[in-house]
Amino acid sequence: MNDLRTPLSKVRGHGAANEGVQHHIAARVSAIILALITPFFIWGLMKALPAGYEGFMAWIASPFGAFTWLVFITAGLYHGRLGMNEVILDYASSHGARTFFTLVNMLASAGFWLVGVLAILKIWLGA
Amino acid sequence: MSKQWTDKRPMSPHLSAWKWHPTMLSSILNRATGIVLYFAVLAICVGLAFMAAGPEGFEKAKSVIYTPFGAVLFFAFAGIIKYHLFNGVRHLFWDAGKGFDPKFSNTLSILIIVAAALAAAALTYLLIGSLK
Repeated sequence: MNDLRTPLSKVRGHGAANEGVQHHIAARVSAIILALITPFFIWGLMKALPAGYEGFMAWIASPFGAFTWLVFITAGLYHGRLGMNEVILDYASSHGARTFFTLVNMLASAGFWLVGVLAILKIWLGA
Repeated sequence: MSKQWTDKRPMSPHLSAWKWHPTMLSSILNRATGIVLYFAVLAICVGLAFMAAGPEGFEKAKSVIYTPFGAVLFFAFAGIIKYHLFNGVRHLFWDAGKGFDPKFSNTLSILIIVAAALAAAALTYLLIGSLK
């Protein structure tokens, strides 16, 4: 009687695991960004490879090239971390293993992202 | 691993529940290519750090990149990324509630695999042509 919340509001956003809507939306948003940027990444790679080291440097140092790279590795590692988390939750056999591997996944994606971004900024801005 | 398996949920892929069909293959491939791409982007970040440090690392990598083996690596990378891209776009259509018809899904699964392989072959052909 005193409960003013509708039944719908109580179940909204709660799947079988009581979570996941945010994960689902984040995976889709990063997927759309990747779908848009990947053709530019492949195109740039095709142009840079024949020109060797100088070709890569010129590509990453150009504003559009740096933008492509930053978006690609940021969205890519974010999307990859979400996907790998799903894999870990599917196959890690115990609570401890799940905790350990999801933590490793988070730290690896963030750490390697930082390495990549710093490298791009160094090449782009010549620091 | 199976000894300490305490989770009561069924483990994917549900091979004991489903007969083999193309959509199942495309689902497994989607996950497999996703895992490979994740490690590939992690490796690319390390590669970027080497590139930023100077040309020495690239000079060494040249003996792999500009060889037939390098072309095979490029073909594999291009095929994997194209597959995940094409199948990912299909996932977005699925999210919108479109494309669930089993027959169409099975046909499209095969088409996506073929399209990814053809795109990778075309890109590799173009790349080898532009290396001369």
